[in-house]
Amino acid sequence: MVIPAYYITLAIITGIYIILALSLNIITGFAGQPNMGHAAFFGIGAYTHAILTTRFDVSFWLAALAAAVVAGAVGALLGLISLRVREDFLAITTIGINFVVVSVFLYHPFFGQAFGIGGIPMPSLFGRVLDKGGLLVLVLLAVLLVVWISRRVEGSWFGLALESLREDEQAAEAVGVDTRRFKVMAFTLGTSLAGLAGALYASFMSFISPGDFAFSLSITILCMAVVGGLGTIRGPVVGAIILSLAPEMFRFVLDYRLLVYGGLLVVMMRLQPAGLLGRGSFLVRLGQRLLGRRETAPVP
Amino acid sequence: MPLLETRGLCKSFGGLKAVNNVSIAVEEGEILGIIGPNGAGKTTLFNTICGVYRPDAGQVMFAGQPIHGLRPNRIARLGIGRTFQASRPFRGLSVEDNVRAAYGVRFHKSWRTLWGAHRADAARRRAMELLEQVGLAHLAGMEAGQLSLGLQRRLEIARALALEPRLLMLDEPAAGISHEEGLQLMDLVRRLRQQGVTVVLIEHNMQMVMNLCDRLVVLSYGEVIAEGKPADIGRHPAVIEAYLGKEVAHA
Repeated sequence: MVIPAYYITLAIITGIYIILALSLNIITGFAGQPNMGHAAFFGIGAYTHAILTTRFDVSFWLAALAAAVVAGAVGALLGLISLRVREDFLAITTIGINFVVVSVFLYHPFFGQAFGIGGIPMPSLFGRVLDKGGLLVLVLLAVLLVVWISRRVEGSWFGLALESLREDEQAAEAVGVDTRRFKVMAFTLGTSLAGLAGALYASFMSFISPGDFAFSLSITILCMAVVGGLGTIRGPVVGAIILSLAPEMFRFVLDYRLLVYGGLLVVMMRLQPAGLLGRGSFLVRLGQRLLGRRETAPVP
Repeated sequence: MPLLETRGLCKSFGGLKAVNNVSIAVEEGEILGIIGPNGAGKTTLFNTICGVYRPDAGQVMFAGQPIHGLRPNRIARLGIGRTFQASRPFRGLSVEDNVRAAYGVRFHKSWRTLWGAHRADAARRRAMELLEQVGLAHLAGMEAGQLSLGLQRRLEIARALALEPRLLMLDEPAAGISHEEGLQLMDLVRRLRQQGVTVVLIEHNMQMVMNLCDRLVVLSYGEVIAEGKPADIGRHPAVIEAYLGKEVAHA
Protein backbone atom coordinates (compact mmCIF):
# COMPACT_ATOMS: atom_id res chain seq x y z
CA MET A 1 0.00 0.00 0.00
CA VAL A 2 1.29 3.43 -0.91
CA ILE A 3 0.21 6.36 1.22
CA PRO A 4 -0.08 9.50 -0.90
CA ALA A 5 2.77 11.93 -0.26
CA TYR A 6 0.27 14.61 0.68
CA TYR A 7 -0.86 12.66 3.74
CA ILE A 8 2.70 11.91 4.78
CA THR A 9 3.53 15.60 4.57
CA LEU A 10 0.43 16.47 6.58
CA ALA A 11 1.26 13.87 9.22
CA ILE A 12 4.85 15.10 9.55
CA ILE A 13 3.75 18.72 9.95
CA THR A 14 1.11 17.69 12.48
CA GLY A 15 3.68 15.72 14.45
CA ILE A 16 6.01 18.71 14.54
CA TYR A 17 3.15 20.89 15.77
CA ILE A 18 2.37 18.38 18.51
CA ILE A 19 5.97 18.60 19.72
CA LEU A 20 5.78 22.39 19.63
CA ALA A 21 2.49 22.53 21.55
CA LEU A 22 3.71 20.04 24.17
CA SER A 23 7.02 21.85 24.64
CA LEU A 24 5.22 25.18 25.10
CA ASN A 25 2.91 23.39 27.53
CA ILE A 26 5.84 22.67 29.86
CA ILE A 27 6.57 26.40 30.10
CA THR A 28 3.08 27.89 29.94
CA GLY A 29 0.89 24.97 31.00
CA PHE A 30 2.84 23.40 33.84
CA ALA A 31 4.98 26.31 35.06
CA GLY A 32 2.45 29.01 34.14
CA GLN A 33 4.99 31.30 32.48
CA PRO A 34 3.71 33.20 29.45
CA ASN A 35 5.69 32.57 26.28
CA MET A 36 4.42 34.21 23.13
CA GLY A 37 7.64 33.75 21.21
CA HIS A 38 7.97 29.98 21.10
CA ALA A 39 8.51 30.01 17.32
CA ALA A 40 11.85 31.75 17.95
CA PHE A 41 13.22 28.62 19.62
CA PHE A 42 11.78 26.44 16.88
CA GLY A 43 13.68 28.71 14.49
CA ILE A 44 16.90 28.62 16.49
CA GLY A 45 16.77 24.82 16.40
CA ALA A 46 16.04 24.77 12.67
CA TYR A 47 18.85 27.21 11.81
CA THR A 48 21.32 25.43 14.06
CA HIS A 49 20.48 22.18 12.34
CA ALA A 50 20.57 23.71 8.85
CA ILE A 51 23.92 25.42 9.34
CA LEU A 52 25.58 22.39 10.90
CA THR A 53 24.38 19.94 8.25
CA THR A 54 24.95 22.12 5.18
CA ARG A 55 28.17 23.93 6.07
CA PHE A 56 29.93 21.69 8.55
CA ASP A 57 28.83 18.33 7.27
CA VAL A 58 27.57 17.26 10.68
CA SER A 59 25.28 14.21 10.71
CA PHE A 60 21.53 14.65 11.20
CA TRP A 61 21.62 13.09 14.65
CA LEU A 62 24.41 15.20 16.06
CA ALA A 63 22.95 18.34 14.48
CA ALA A 64 19.52 17.59 15.97
CA LEU A 65 21.10 17.21 19.38
CA ALA A 66 22.95 20.49 18.88
CA ALA A 67 19.70 22.17 17.80
CA ALA A 68 18.08 21.13 21.08
CA VAL A 69 21.08 22.28 23.10
CA VAL A 70 21.42 25.68 21.41
CA ALA A 71 17.67 26.41 21.60
CA GLY A 72 17.67 25.30 25.24
CA ALA A 73 20.64 27.56 26.02
CA VAL A 74 18.89 30.59 24.57
CA GLY A 75 15.74 29.47 26.41
CA ALA A 76 17.68 29.37 29.67
CA LEU A 77 18.71 32.95 28.97
CA LEU A 78 15.04 33.85 28.52
CA GLY A 79 14.34 32.04 31.78
CA LEU A 80 16.90 34.24 33.52
CA ILE A 81 15.22 37.31 32.02
CA SER A 82 11.88 36.04 33.26
CA LEU A 83 13.13 36.35 36.84
CA ARG A 84 13.37 40.09 36.37
CA VAL A 85 10.00 40.90 34.84
CA ARG A 86 6.40 40.49 35.93
CA GLU A 87 4.07 38.19 34.06
CA ASP A 88 2.49 40.65 31.64
CA PHE A 89 5.87 42.15 30.80
CA LEU A 90 7.30 38.70 30.29
CA ALA A 91 4.62 38.07 27.65
CA ILE A 92 5.74 41.21 25.82
CA THR A 93 9.41 40.33 26.27
CA THR A 94 8.86 36.93 24.64
CA ILE A 95 7.10 38.60 21.70
CA GLY A 96 10.10 40.89 21.39
CA ILE A 97 12.49 37.94 21.41
CA ASN A 98 10.57 36.36 18.56
CA PHE A 99 10.95 39.51 16.45
CA VAL A 100 14.62 39.92 17.34
CA VAL A 101 15.45 36.33 16.43
CA VAL A 102 13.62 36.55 13.09
CA SER A 103 15.38 39.86 12.35
CA VAL A 104 18.78 38.32 13.03
CA PHE A 105 18.00 35.49 10.59
CA LEU A 106 16.76 38.05 8.08
CA TYR A 107 19.59 40.57 8.22
CA HIS A 108 22.74 38.70 9.12
CA PRO A 109 24.58 37.14 6.17
CA PHE A 110 25.62 34.17 8.31
CA PHE A 111 21.98 33.06 8.39
CA GLY A 112 21.43 33.51 4.66
CA GLN A 113 19.25 36.61 5.07
CA ALA A 114 15.97 36.57 3.14
CA PHE A 115 17.21 33.70 0.95
CA GLY A 116 17.26 31.38 3.92
CA ILE A 117 19.23 28.17 3.89
CA GLY A 118 18.66 25.41 1.36
CA GLY A 119 19.95 21.97 0.60
CA ILE A 120 19.41 20.59 4.08
CA PRO A 121 19.81 16.81 3.79
CA MET A 122 17.37 14.18 4.96
CA PRO A 123 18.59 12.05 7.86
CA SER A 124 20.44 8.87 7.03
CA LEU A 125 20.47 5.69 9.05
CA PHE A 126 23.17 3.03 8.63
CA GLY A 127 24.30 4.68 5.40
CA ARG A 128 20.81 4.81 3.89
CA VAL A 129 19.09 8.13 3.34
CA LEU A 130 15.56 8.10 4.74
CA ASP A 131 12.61 8.94 2.50
CA LYS A 132 9.58 10.91 3.65
CA GLY A 133 7.96 7.80 5.09
CA GLY A 134 11.10 7.14 7.11
CA LEU A 135 11.10 10.71 8.34
CA LEU A 136 7.47 10.33 9.37
CA VAL A 137 8.44 7.37 11.54
CA LEU A 138 11.22 9.48 13.03
CA VAL A 139 8.81 12.34 13.75
CA LEU A 140 6.34 9.97 15.39
CA LEU A 141 9.13 8.58 17.57
CA ALA A 142 10.05 12.14 18.54
CA VAL A 143 6.38 12.80 19.41
CA LEU A 144 6.39 9.71 21.62
CA LEU A 145 9.60 10.89 23.27
CA VAL A 146 8.11 14.31 24.02
CA VAL A 147 4.86 12.78 25.31
CA TRP A 148 6.95 10.52 27.54
CA ILE A 149 8.98 13.47 28.83
CA SER A 150 5.77 15.41 29.48
CA ARG A 151 4.36 12.49 31.45
CA ARG A 152 7.54 12.20 33.46
CA VAL A 153 7.35 15.92 34.23
CA GLU A 154 3.70 15.73 35.20
CA GLY A 155 4.14 12.81 37.56
CA SER A 156 7.36 13.92 39.22
CA TRP A 157 8.28 16.23 42.09
CA PHE A 158 9.69 18.49 39.40
CA GLY A 159 6.25 18.83 37.81
CA LEU A 160 4.53 19.42 41.14
CA ALA A 161 7.05 22.18 41.87
CA LEU A 162 6.24 23.77 38.49
CA GLU A 163 2.53 23.59 39.24
CA SER A 164 2.95 25.20 42.66
CA LEU A 165 4.94 27.97 40.99
CA ARG A 166 2.13 28.43 38.47
CA GLU A 167 -0.55 28.58 41.16
CA ASP A 168 1.13 31.05 43.50
CA GLU A 169 4.75 32.08 43.29
CA GLN A 170 4.98 33.66 46.73
CA ALA A 171 3.28 30.72 48.43
CA ALA A 172 5.58 28.32 46.58
CA GLU A 173 8.62 30.20 47.90
CA ALA A 174 7.12 30.10 51.39
CA VAL A 175 7.05 26.31 51.35
CA GLY A 176 10.61 26.07 50.10
CA VAL A 177 10.25 25.87 46.31
CA ASP A 178 13.15 27.67 44.63
CA THR A 179 10.93 29.36 42.06
CA ARG A 180 13.83 30.96 40.16
CA ARG A 181 15.53 27.65 39.59
CA PHE A 182 12.32 26.01 38.42
CA LYS A 183 11.43 28.84 36.04
CA VAL A 184 14.80 28.56 34.35
CA MET A 185 14.50 24.76 34.21
CA ALA A 186 11.03 24.92 32.65
CA PHE A 187 12.19 27.39 30.01
CA THR A 188 15.29 25.34 29.25
CA LEU A 189 13.43 22.06 28.86
CA GLY A 190 10.53 23.53 26.86
CA THR A 191 12.71 25.51 24.45
CA SER A 192 15.15 22.67 23.86
CA LEU A 193 12.27 20.43 22.76
CA ALA A 194 11.16 23.22 20.41
CA GLY A 195 14.72 23.19 19.07
CA LEU A 196 14.42 19.47 18.40
CA ALA A 197 11.20 20.13 16.46
CA GLY A 198 13.16 22.73 14.49
CA ALA A 199 15.75 20.14 13.46
CA LEU A 200 13.02 17.80 12.19
CA TYR A 201 11.38 20.65 10.33
CA ALA A 202 14.58 21.84 8.66
CA SER A 203 15.41 18.34 7.52
CA PHE A 204 11.91 17.74 6.21
CA MET A 205 11.60 21.05 4.34
CA SER A 206 15.24 20.97 3.11
CA PHE A 207 14.88 24.75 2.80
CA ILE A 208 14.12 27.23 5.58
CA SER A 209 13.74 30.99 5.65
CA PRO A 210 13.10 33.55 8.42
CA GLY A 211 9.40 33.84 7.62
CA ASP A 212 8.83 30.24 8.75
CA PHE A 213 9.39 31.26 12.37
CA ALA A 214 7.38 34.47 12.56
CA PHE A 215 5.37 35.68 15.54
CA SER A 216 2.16 34.38 13.94
CA LEU A 217 3.50 30.84 14.36
CA SER A 218 4.03 31.50 18.08
CA ILE A 219 0.37 32.47 18.33
CA THR A 220 -0.64 29.36 16.40
CA ILE A 221 1.32 27.14 18.82
CA LEU A 222 -0.14 28.93 21.83
CA CYS A 223 -3.58 28.57 20.32
CA MET A 224 -3.12 24.82 19.92
CA ALA A 225 -2.16 24.39 23.57
CA VAL A 226 -4.92 26.68 24.85
CA VAL A 227 -7.68 25.21 22.66
CA GLY A 228 -6.79 21.68 23.72
CA GLY A 229 -6.17 22.50 27.36
CA LEU A 230 -3.05 23.97 28.95
CA GLY A 231 -1.51 21.99 31.77
CA THR A 232 -2.67 18.61 30.48
CA ILE A 233 -0.94 16.35 27.98
CA ARG A 234 -3.94 15.20 25.96
CA GLY A 235 -4.97 18.87 25.48
CA PRO A 236 -2.01 20.21 23.48
CA VAL A 237 -1.84 16.96 21.46
CA VAL A 238 -5.48 17.18 20.40
CA GLY A 239 -5.28 20.96 19.97
CA ALA A 240 -2.29 20.58 17.65
CA ILE A 241 -4.05 17.90 15.60
CA ILE A 242 -7.25 19.93 15.23
CA LEU A 243 -5.53 23.17 14.30
CA SER A 244 -3.08 21.62 11.87
CA LEU A 245 -5.76 19.65 10.04
CA ALA A 246 -8.44 22.37 10.07
CA PRO A 247 -6.72 24.70 7.59
CA GLU A 248 -6.31 21.77 5.20
CA MET A 249 -10.04 21.09 5.30
CA PHE A 250 -11.07 24.70 5.23
CA ARG A 251 -8.69 26.20 2.75
CA PHE A 252 -10.50 29.53 2.72
CA VAL A 253 -9.44 30.06 6.34
CA LEU A 254 -5.79 30.15 5.34
CA ASP A 255 -5.76 33.83 4.41
CA TYR A 256 -7.38 34.80 7.68
CA ARG A 257 -5.44 32.41 9.87
CA LEU A 258 -4.17 34.94 12.37
CA LEU A 259 -7.61 36.53 12.65
CA VAL A 260 -9.30 33.19 13.20
CA TYR A 261 -6.69 31.99 15.71
CA GLY A 262 -6.79 35.27 17.61
CA GLY A 263 -10.58 35.09 17.73
CA LEU A 264 -10.40 31.47 18.80
CA LEU A 265 -8.08 32.40 21.69
CA VAL A 266 -10.52 35.07 22.88
CA VAL A 267 -13.51 32.74 22.63
CA MET A 268 -11.71 29.93 24.46
CA MET A 269 -10.52 32.24 27.24
CA ARG A 270 -14.07 33.48 27.68
CA LEU A 271 -16.00 30.21 27.45
CA GLN A 272 -13.61 27.36 28.16
CA PRO A 273 -10.51 28.74 29.86
CA ALA A 274 -9.34 25.22 30.72
CA GLY A 275 -9.42 24.25 27.02
CA LEU A 276 -11.49 21.58 25.27
CA LEU A 277 -9.89 18.76 27.25
CA GLY A 278 -8.63 20.63 30.30
CA ARG A 279 -9.72 19.87 33.83
CA GLY A 280 -13.40 20.53 34.38
CA SER A 281 -14.05 21.46 30.74
CA PHE A 282 -17.37 20.87 29.07
CA LEU A 283 -16.15 17.81 27.14
CA VAL A 284 -14.37 16.24 30.12
CA ARG A 285 -17.47 16.64 32.29
CA LEU A 286 -19.62 15.15 29.55
CA GLY A 287 -17.24 12.21 29.26
CA GLN A 288 -17.23 11.70 32.98
CA ARG A 289 -21.00 11.74 33.08
CA LEU A 290 -21.17 9.17 30.29
CA LEU A 291 -18.63 6.96 32.02
CA GLY A 292 -20.17 7.65 35.41
CA ARG A 293 -17.10 8.78 37.26
CA ARG A 294 -15.57 11.98 38.53
CA GLU A 295 -12.02 13.27 38.66
CA THR A 296 -12.29 15.01 42.01
CA ALA A 297 -14.42 14.47 45.08
CA PRO A 298 -17.76 16.28 45.10
CA VAL A 299 -18.24 19.45 47.10
CA PRO A 300 -19.68 18.41 50.48
CA MET B 1 19.83 30.89 72.82
CA PRO B 2 16.47 31.99 71.40
CA LEU B 3 15.16 30.07 68.37
CA LEU B 4 14.43 33.27 66.48
CA GLU B 5 15.87 36.66 67.18
CA THR B 6 15.70 39.99 65.39
CA ARG B 7 18.24 42.66 66.22
CA GLY B 8 17.46 46.26 65.34
CA LEU B 9 15.43 45.23 62.30
CA CYS B 10 14.39 48.09 60.01
CA LYS B 11 12.33 48.17 56.81
CA SER B 12 11.06 51.33 55.14
CA PHE B 13 8.84 51.90 52.14
CA GLY B 14 9.65 55.33 50.76
CA GLY B 15 9.46 57.61 53.78
CA LEU B 16 7.39 55.19 55.86
CA LYS B 17 9.27 53.27 58.50
CA ALA B 18 7.10 50.15 58.51
CA VAL B 19 9.44 48.28 60.83
CA ASN B 20 11.69 50.45 62.95
CA ASN B 21 14.48 49.05 65.08
CA VAL B 22 12.59 45.94 66.15
CA SER B 23 14.39 43.52 68.42
CA ILE B 24 12.43 40.50 69.56
CA ALA B 25 13.42 37.03 70.72
CA VAL B 26 11.33 33.88 70.43
CA GLU B 27 12.24 31.06 72.78
CA GLU B 28 11.99 27.46 71.69
CA GLY B 29 8.61 25.95 72.52
CA GLU B 30 6.70 29.13 73.21
CA ILE B 31 3.68 30.69 71.54
CA LEU B 32 4.41 34.34 70.93
CA GLY B 33 1.65 36.73 69.87
CA ILE B 34 2.36 39.89 67.90
CA ILE B 35 -0.41 42.44 68.26
CA GLY B 36 -0.86 46.09 67.42
CA PRO B 37 -3.24 48.45 65.66
CA ASN B 38 -3.76 48.24 61.90
CA GLY B 39 -0.74 49.44 60.02
CA ALA B 40 1.59 48.83 62.95
CA GLY B 41 3.96 46.83 60.76
CA LYS B 42 3.14 43.32 61.94
CA THR B 43 2.87 41.71 58.52
CA THR B 44 5.89 43.67 57.29
CA LEU B 45 7.85 42.28 60.24
CA PHE B 46 6.72 38.77 59.24
CA ASN B 47 7.66 39.29 55.62
CA THR B 48 11.04 40.71 56.55
CA ILE B 49 11.79 37.72 58.77
CA CYS B 50 10.65 35.28 56.06
CA GLY B 51 12.75 36.89 53.35
CA VAL B 52 9.96 38.42 51.24
CA TYR B 53 11.56 41.80 51.98
CA ARG B 54 15.24 42.44 52.49
CA PRO B 55 15.78 44.41 55.72
CA ASP B 56 17.31 47.91 55.40
CA ALA B 57 19.22 47.35 58.60
CA GLY B 58 19.45 44.85 61.42
CA GLN B 59 19.77 41.11 61.65
CA VAL B 60 17.55 38.06 61.82
CA MET B 61 19.03 35.04 63.58
CA PHE B 62 17.40 31.62 63.38
CA ALA B 63 18.83 28.89 65.58
CA GLY B 64 21.98 30.95 65.88
CA GLN B 65 22.42 31.44 62.13
CA PRO B 66 21.94 34.75 60.33
CA ILE B 67 19.11 34.41 57.78
CA HIS B 68 18.53 38.02 56.68
CA GLY B 69 19.12 38.48 52.98
CA LEU B 70 18.32 34.86 52.16
CA ARG B 71 15.55 34.11 49.68
CA PRO B 72 12.21 32.96 51.15
CA ASN B 73 12.61 29.39 49.89
CA ARG B 74 15.96 29.04 51.69
CA ILE B 75 14.49 30.34 54.91
CA ALA B 76 11.53 27.97 54.58
CA ARG B 77 13.88 25.03 54.07
CA LEU B 78 15.86 26.02 57.15
CA GLY B 79 12.73 25.35 59.18
CA ILE B 80 10.38 28.34 59.20
CA GLY B 81 6.89 27.58 57.95
CA ARG B 82 4.35 30.33 57.42
CA THR B 83 0.80 31.14 56.44
CA PHE B 84 -0.49 34.29 54.77
CA GLN B 85 -2.90 36.96 55.95
CA ALA B 86 -5.03 36.60 52.83
CA SER B 87 -4.91 32.83 52.54
CA ARG B 88 -2.95 31.59 49.53
CA PRO B 89 -3.42 27.90 48.89
CA PHE B 90 -2.41 26.54 45.47
CA ARG B 91 -5.98 27.05 44.30
CA GLY B 92 -5.97 24.86 41.19
CA LEU B 93 -4.34 21.89 42.90
CA SER B 94 -6.09 19.30 45.04
CA VAL B 95 -5.92 19.60 48.81
CA GLU B 96 -3.59 16.62 48.90
CA ASP B 97 -1.31 18.02 46.19
CA ASN B 98 -1.06 21.29 48.12
CA VAL B 99 0.52 19.44 51.02
CA ARG B 100 2.57 17.22 48.74
CA ALA B 101 4.03 20.20 46.88
CA ALA B 102 5.55 21.36 50.17
CA TYR B 103 6.52 17.87 51.28
CA GLY B 104 8.26 17.35 47.94
CA VAL B 105 10.78 20.13 48.53
CA ARG B 106 13.03 17.60 50.26
CA PHE B 107 13.34 15.81 46.90
CA HIS B 108 14.46 18.92 45.04
CA LYS B 109 18.05 18.53 46.15
CA SER B 110 19.25 15.92 43.72
CA TRP B 111 18.44 15.47 40.06
CA ARG B 112 17.54 11.83 40.57
CA THR B 113 14.96 12.34 43.34
CA LEU B 114 13.53 15.38 41.57
CA TRP B 115 12.27 13.08 38.81
CA GLY B 116 10.76 10.61 41.28
CA ALA B 117 6.99 10.06 41.24
CA HIS B 118 5.12 12.40 43.55
CA ARG B 119 2.19 10.02 43.81
CA ALA B 120 4.40 7.51 45.58
CA ASP B 121 2.82 5.78 48.57
CA ALA B 122 5.10 7.24 51.24
CA ALA B 123 4.35 10.78 50.10
CA ARG B 124 0.62 10.07 50.02
CA ARG B 125 0.69 8.64 53.53
CA ARG B 126 2.58 11.60 54.92
CA ALA B 127 0.23 14.07 53.21
CA MET B 128 -2.79 12.25 54.60
CA GLU B 129 -1.31 12.25 58.10
CA LEU B 130 -0.85 15.99 57.94
CA LEU B 131 -4.34 16.52 56.56
CA GLU B 132 -5.73 14.34 59.32
CA GLN B 133 -3.96 16.48 61.86
CA VAL B 134 -5.78 19.61 60.65
CA GLY B 135 -9.03 17.74 59.98
CA LEU B 136 -9.00 17.90 56.19
CA ALA B 137 -8.32 14.27 55.31
CA HIS B 138 -11.86 13.69 54.05
CA LEU B 139 -11.44 16.54 51.53
CA ALA B 140 -8.07 15.39 50.15
CA GLY B 141 -9.30 15.13 46.54
CA MET B 142 -11.05 18.48 46.45
CA GLU B 143 -9.68 21.47 44.58
CA ALA B 144 -8.16 23.81 47.17
CA GLY B 145 -9.80 26.91 45.71
CA GLN B 146 -13.21 25.42 46.51
CA LEU B 147 -12.57 25.23 50.27
CA SER B 148 -14.13 27.73 52.67
CA LEU B 149 -11.81 30.36 54.09
CA GLY B 150 -11.55 28.56 57.43
CA LEU B 151 -10.56 25.32 55.73
CA GLN B 152 -8.09 27.13 53.46
CA ARG B 153 -6.38 28.46 56.57
CA ARG B 154 -6.07 24.97 57.96
CA LEU B 155 -4.78 23.70 54.64
CA GLU B 156 -2.10 26.39 54.73
CA ILE B 157 -1.05 25.17 58.16
CA ALA B 158 -0.87 21.55 56.96
CA ARG B 159 1.17 22.71 53.98
CA ALA B 160 3.57 24.61 56.22
CA LEU B 161 3.86 21.58 58.52
CA ALA B 162 4.91 19.40 55.58
CA LEU B 163 8.29 21.12 55.82
CA GLU B 164 8.62 19.87 59.38
CA PRO B 165 9.36 23.40 60.56
CA ARG B 166 10.81 24.25 63.95
CA LEU B 167 9.04 27.58 63.82
CA LEU B 168 5.55 28.23 62.50
CA MET B 169 4.55 31.81 61.70
CA LEU B 170 0.80 32.41 61.38
CA ASP B 171 -0.41 35.72 59.98
CA GLU B 172 -3.89 36.39 61.36
CA PRO B 173 -5.00 32.78 61.32
CA ALA B 174 -8.42 33.59 62.81
CA ALA B 175 -9.34 36.49 60.51
CA GLY B 176 -12.62 35.94 58.71
CA ILE B 177 -13.43 32.57 60.24
CA SER B 178 -16.25 31.59 62.60
CA HIS B 179 -16.02 31.45 66.38
CA GLU B 180 -16.11 27.67 66.34
CA GLU B 181 -13.41 27.43 63.68
CA GLY B 182 -11.36 29.80 65.83
CA LEU B 183 -11.64 27.43 68.80
CA GLN B 184 -10.57 24.48 66.67
CA LEU B 185 -7.64 26.52 65.43
CA MET B 186 -6.53 27.27 69.00
CA ASP B 187 -6.71 23.58 69.78
CA LEU B 188 -4.58 22.83 66.78
CA VAL B 189 -1.94 25.41 67.69
CA ARG B 190 -1.72 24.01 71.24
CA ARG B 191 -1.29 20.49 69.90
CA LEU B 192 1.46 21.65 67.58
CA ARG B 193 3.29 23.24 70.45
CA GLN B 194 3.08 19.96 72.34
CA GLN B 195 4.75 18.35 69.35
CA GLY B 196 7.62 20.76 69.78
CA VAL B 197 6.78 23.42 67.21
CA THR B 198 7.42 27.01 68.24
CA VAL B 199 4.67 29.38 67.11
CA VAL B 200 4.62 33.09 66.35
CA LEU B 201 1.25 34.51 65.43
CA ILE B 202 -0.18 37.85 64.45
CA GLU B 203 -3.75 38.19 65.64
CA HIS B 204 -6.44 40.78 66.18
CA ASN B 205 -8.79 38.46 68.01
CA MET B 206 -8.02 39.42 71.61
CA GLN B 207 -9.77 36.47 73.18
CA MET B 208 -7.61 34.14 71.16
CA VAL B 209 -4.41 36.02 71.89
CA MET B 210 -5.08 36.15 75.62
CA ASN B 211 -5.93 32.46 75.85
CA LEU B 212 -3.32 31.07 73.55
CA CYS B 213 -0.11 33.06 73.82
CA ASP B 214 2.57 32.72 76.47
CA ARG B 215 3.90 36.15 75.69
CA LEU B 216 2.92 39.15 73.64
CA VAL B 217 4.83 41.78 71.70
CA VAL B 218 2.95 44.98 70.92
CA LEU B 219 3.88 46.95 67.81
CA SER B 220 2.80 50.49 67.02
CA TYR B 221 4.07 52.58 64.12
CA GLY B 222 6.71 49.97 63.44
CA GLU B 223 8.19 49.96 66.92
CA VAL B 224 7.91 47.61 69.85
CA ILE B 225 6.05 49.53 72.53
CA ALA B 226 5.53 46.75 75.05
CA GLU B 227 6.08 43.08 75.66
CA GLY B 228 5.17 40.69 78.41
CA LYS B 229 2.56 38.27 79.69
CA PRO B 230 -0.93 38.66 78.18
CA ALA B 231 -2.46 39.66 81.51
CA ASP B 232 0.05 42.45 82.02
CA ILE B 233 -0.13 43.75 78.48
CA GLY B 234 -3.83 44.61 78.82
CA ARG B 235 -2.98 47.05 81.61
CA HIS B 236 0.10 48.56 80.02
CA PRO B 237 -0.40 52.34 79.57
CA ALA B 238 1.46 52.52 76.24
CA VAL B 239 -0.73 49.73 74.86
CA ILE B 240 -3.94 51.39 75.97
CA GLU B 241 -2.74 54.60 74.39
CA ALA B 242 -1.86 52.90 71.11
CA TYR B 243 -5.25 51.24 70.85
CA LEU B 244 -7.54 53.86 72.39
CA GLY B 245 -5.59 57.11 72.20
CA LYS B 246 -4.30 59.37 74.96
CA GLU B 247 -6.53 60.22 77.85
CA VAL B 248 -7.47 63.87 77.81
CA ALA B 249 -7.10 65.69 81.12
CA HIS B 250 -10.47 66.63 82.56
CA ALA B 251 -11.15 70.24 82.96
